[in-house]
Amino acid sequence: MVRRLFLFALATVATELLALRESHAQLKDTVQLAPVTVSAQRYTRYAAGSRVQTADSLLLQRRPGLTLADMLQQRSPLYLRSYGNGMTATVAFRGTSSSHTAVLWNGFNIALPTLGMSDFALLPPSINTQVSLQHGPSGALHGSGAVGGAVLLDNPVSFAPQQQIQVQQELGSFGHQRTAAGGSFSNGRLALTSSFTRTAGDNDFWFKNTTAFGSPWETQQNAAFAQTSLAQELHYKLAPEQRLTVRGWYVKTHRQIQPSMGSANTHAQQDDENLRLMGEWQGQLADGTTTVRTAFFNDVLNYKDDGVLSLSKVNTYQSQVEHERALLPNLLLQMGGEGQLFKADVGGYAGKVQEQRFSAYGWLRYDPLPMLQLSLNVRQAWVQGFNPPLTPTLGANLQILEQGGNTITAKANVSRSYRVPTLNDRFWRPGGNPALKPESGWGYEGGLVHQHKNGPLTGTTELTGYALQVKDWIQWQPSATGGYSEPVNLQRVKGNGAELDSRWQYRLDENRSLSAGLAYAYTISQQKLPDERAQLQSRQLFYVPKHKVATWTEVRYRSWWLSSDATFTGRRFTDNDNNNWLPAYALVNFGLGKTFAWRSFETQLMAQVQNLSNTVYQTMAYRAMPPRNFRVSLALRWATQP
Amino acid sequence: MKVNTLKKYFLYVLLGSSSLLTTSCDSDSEDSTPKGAYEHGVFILNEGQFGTPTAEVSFLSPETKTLIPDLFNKVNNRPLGDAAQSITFIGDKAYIAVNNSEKIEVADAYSFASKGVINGLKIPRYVAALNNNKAYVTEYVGYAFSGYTGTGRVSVLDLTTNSVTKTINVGLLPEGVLMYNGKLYVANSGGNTISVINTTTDAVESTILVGESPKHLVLDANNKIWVLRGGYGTPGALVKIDPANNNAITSYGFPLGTSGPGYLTINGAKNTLYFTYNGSVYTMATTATSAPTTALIHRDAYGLGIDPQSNTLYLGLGGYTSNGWVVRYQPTGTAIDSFQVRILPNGFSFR
Repeated sequence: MVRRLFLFALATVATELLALRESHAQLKDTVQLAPVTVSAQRYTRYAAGSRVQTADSLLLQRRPGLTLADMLQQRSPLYLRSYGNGMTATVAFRGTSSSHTAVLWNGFNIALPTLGMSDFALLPPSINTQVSLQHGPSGALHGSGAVGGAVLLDNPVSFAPQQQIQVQQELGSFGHQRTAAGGSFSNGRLALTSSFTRTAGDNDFWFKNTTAFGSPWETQQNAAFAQTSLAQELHYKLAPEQRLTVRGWYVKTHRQIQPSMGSANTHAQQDDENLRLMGEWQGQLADGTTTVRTAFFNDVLNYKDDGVLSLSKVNTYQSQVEHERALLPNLLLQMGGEGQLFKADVGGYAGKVQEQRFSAYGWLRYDPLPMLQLSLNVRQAWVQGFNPPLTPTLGANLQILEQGGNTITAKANVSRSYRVPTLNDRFWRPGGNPALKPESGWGYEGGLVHQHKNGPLTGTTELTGYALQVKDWIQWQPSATGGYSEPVNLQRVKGNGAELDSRWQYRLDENRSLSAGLAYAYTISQQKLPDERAQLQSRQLFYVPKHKVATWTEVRYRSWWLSSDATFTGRRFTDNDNNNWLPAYALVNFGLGKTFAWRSFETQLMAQVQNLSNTVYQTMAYRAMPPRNFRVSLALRWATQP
Repeated sequence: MKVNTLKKYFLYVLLGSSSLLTTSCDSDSEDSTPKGAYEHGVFILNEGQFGTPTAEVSFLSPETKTLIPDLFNKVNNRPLGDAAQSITFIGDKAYIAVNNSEKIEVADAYSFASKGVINGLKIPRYVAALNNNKAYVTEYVGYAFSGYTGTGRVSVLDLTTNSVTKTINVGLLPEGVLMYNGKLYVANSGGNTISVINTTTDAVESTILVGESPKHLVLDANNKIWVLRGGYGTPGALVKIDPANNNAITSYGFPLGTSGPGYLTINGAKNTLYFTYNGSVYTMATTATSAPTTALIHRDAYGLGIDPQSNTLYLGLGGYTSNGWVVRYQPTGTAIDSFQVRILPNGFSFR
């Protein structure tokens, strides 16, 4: 029963993606890829009426080397704020800021508790990573920080028997190189996956320094990086309906920090080490499914330049217990609790700092009619010193039309969110304020989803309108008592906007297919600030473009494929006074690949042109971005399937 | 990157009693034809947000009551740089030391069009000129994890070629400079001395012990040099140096504060000092026998200036990442009006 309900639920929220994924899977290369299971189900079942977008899960397999940042830039309406190629990159949903994006790895929030945000340049996805985007607030599902939205990284569990090994080498302009090796094995009871990548770049590209007298051409200095990532997974079936999972992910990154154009090169560099370990047990218990997870993270961030040395180390311990059961054939309940303990040793604090956070949640999914799905979720968190608000979510999907391969579904959702102040907000000396209140927000959205499946043509179009507000938005501002900054619960930010997402695939036969997609976001996000006459005036938040469009197409013909993507990003203010802005820009990338297969071996050759039109652009003011550049890669794969 | 319309920045609320400001060009009788759009007015230097090229010069014309908050960018269509420290007018040029861009931008003093740049500097701070061809700039050098520990220096600038011709080692963190009688007085703010450089030999000829952390210097009507110093760990002081009497010093001590000295300036008649100390603005006559005990304005000014004609005080306030404000005061400490400029207004030049 649960399964039937689940399938039904998926059919409404994430089907579009399933459909695409399946059809991609049918088009797969000569060598069979591991079947992809959906693991974001944990949430999508309870996300009726909200917008969850699962990225094409085979994209990372077809284009190994694609970074998470690239993927979000090219395939989503999110604005990626990047301080340079390979440098710190953050994303924000619906006109909020990067600290309002929760990032969850297999169910655990992995945002750095000191900064309260995630640097996407430090999250190289392993080849089996499935990326889903929750647009809009979802405090009840994803906890603290999911104010604008959430990025969900999941490594699905699959016991389908298979063996596979692959290696890849990529070379590119400006010293880019990437080496990857991975393998997976499963005999039906034990499944193992290993993934190793090393990516490095010199970033010694040339740029026109528009801040200097005479605007000279210069070679970018101090922007090299090298990153090593090792991911390991083990799944073991203890019994037919009981499994144990252990995952480890270690990423070590050394980066020189690219200075702003026209700023002195102070030889800044940052070393990050992120170790993430988790264990998960899942089994059938008391007429339901019970899951117990526990995790340990060790995050080291060391920064230094000619004048500053800043060291930080945070250990995070997290545990979750969940129980899910069907109360009625059409009523599904999940209840759970979560505990987090942070132990931070940060140079800027007065000493070692500990913080505990707990939350309890209940998620309900009810399908009173075949065409109507409702979800009601709620979460309450407890934090040392203060308590965030109760965060409920109520959502609904209503199928209003089904005809000739077309279905139209209406959706609506109301959701509350919260964000606990970061450890820096509370404990940094000077300025940190332990009495800061958590931020809280409300989001309201509604829209229509159209799905089409008729012969060789499948597609989904989703149109969403929303309004959003965040109260007690924490901002650092000059202290009243001295020459430093301090965080205060200052602003109220209001936003509204619209999102359009459309993905289509035309599959002529086994050898020929065409797929294309478009994602567009119109974003208004405003706060009231004094103008030059000290009158309060609504201003667009900085680095929130009103318009962002991402489009992509992919053509496959026999063993060849050609892909392209193009994005347009509108004007972005670079300060909250709206004094300065970055002009709109468009970016175009192209890739061509060819696969050669022999028995159970497969070779893939790939060539890419990035920034085809040689556009001069910046995503953060005066951080130069690379001009037109090239990459070639060779991948070898061996796989068997009994 | 942007052009802001002048109209937007018209100051509707500027100054009820405009008579205070109409005097600034009366004394200019030599040539009545304007040399450029920005010949007369107040140049407000906005430091900008450190690490970003958001330094800017704002221009206020008290005569026409107009404010151009982003003069440099408006004229030159590019940002000024990262962390502007000081602006100095020499001849028909303005020299802007931009410390984290390690350069001095050179602009036409009347049109503000960019005329060149002096590169090869290390955290340039303040500039003083011997004549239209030769000037000196203080530089912080030896910046290390534990702070500024190396010996600071003064670079000799050839203003005809915009180049550095010589560097002279001085004390730690050389800050304010003053040219008097062919000698350059350099306040070593990381130490306790003033270095005196002979501009004929371009060598340090003597050092004057003044006490902890000397920062800024001015010259009064009686040719005495005043130094503002100290205040972090030990009480600060105004120190009077008499160059005519073998640089003999007299100290006027302050009570111990919680923050160091800020900026020191002097009125047009050169008989009244204005300075910031311990989060307030103080004033003191050069004839006073002791330092003031009460503040003129209880406000933590990031920048301080005084109009030499009208004696109107200009305070630059706030905003490390957002627009700052200039608040104007009558010499008595009564507020007149305020207007918005760019990030961190730290200095004023009256032309």
